[in-house]
Amino acid sequence: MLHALADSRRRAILRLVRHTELPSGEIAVHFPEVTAPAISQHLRVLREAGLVSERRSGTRRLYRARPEGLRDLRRWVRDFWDDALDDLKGAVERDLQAQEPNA
Amino acid sequence: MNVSEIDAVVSEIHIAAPPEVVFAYFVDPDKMRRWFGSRVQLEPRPGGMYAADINSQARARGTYLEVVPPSRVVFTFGWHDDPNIPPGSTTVEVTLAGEREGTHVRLVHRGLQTPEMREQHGQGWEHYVARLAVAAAGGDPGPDPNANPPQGGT
Repeated sequence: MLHALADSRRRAILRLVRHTELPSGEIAVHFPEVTAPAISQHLRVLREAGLVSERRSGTRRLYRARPEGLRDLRRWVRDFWDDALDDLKGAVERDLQAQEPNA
Repeated sequence: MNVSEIDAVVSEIHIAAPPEVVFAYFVDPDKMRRWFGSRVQLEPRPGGMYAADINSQARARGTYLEVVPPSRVVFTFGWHDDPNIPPGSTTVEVTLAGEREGTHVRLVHRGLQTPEMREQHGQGWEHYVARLAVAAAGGDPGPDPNANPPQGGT
């Protein structure tokens, strides 16, 4: 997710589809300097990061920002700190035992 | 839960060591390195910097706001080069309370926003700062377009 948002063009794409569902072709129109395959690649990264949803309608693929973005960010942060505090607990308790072998 | 906790992430754990022992792992770089980051530089005093590199990509940066041994540490927190959680954008508050021959650690991470939410704030402020600049220079910024938002659909 961090990687997905590191690119300014991907953030610009995300802004475009924040409130509207758009087909990739229409998204590409906003970036005349970028090739269509490059836009598809950006959309793929955003989709894999859970930041946009993809829906097929006939031959078109429609994209829209997922409102769950903040929830996903919070989940990521919570997992991050849960893991970190587990590591803290392990380090503190190991160090204490090493200092007090008879404790 | 109070209102300010709604946008916060909370993580808690029990550690079998007294608070004064656990506290050191938040302010002593050698001890922090044992659980967080491989390169750590800390200035544990209000206004002092906080830098912990997990790896070359993930570099945590912040500033200590409160350092109260052995019960409380507060620091701003962000990741270098990360639009999700840029340095200075969020706050981490750690409270250590003695319990059951050990310590209850409670970590609260506040201020999390998506880049879009942050950008909306930013655009709002930039809009008004620009208008203020015009007005302060003796000009007329004109009616505020936000004062009468366009009605109806598209």
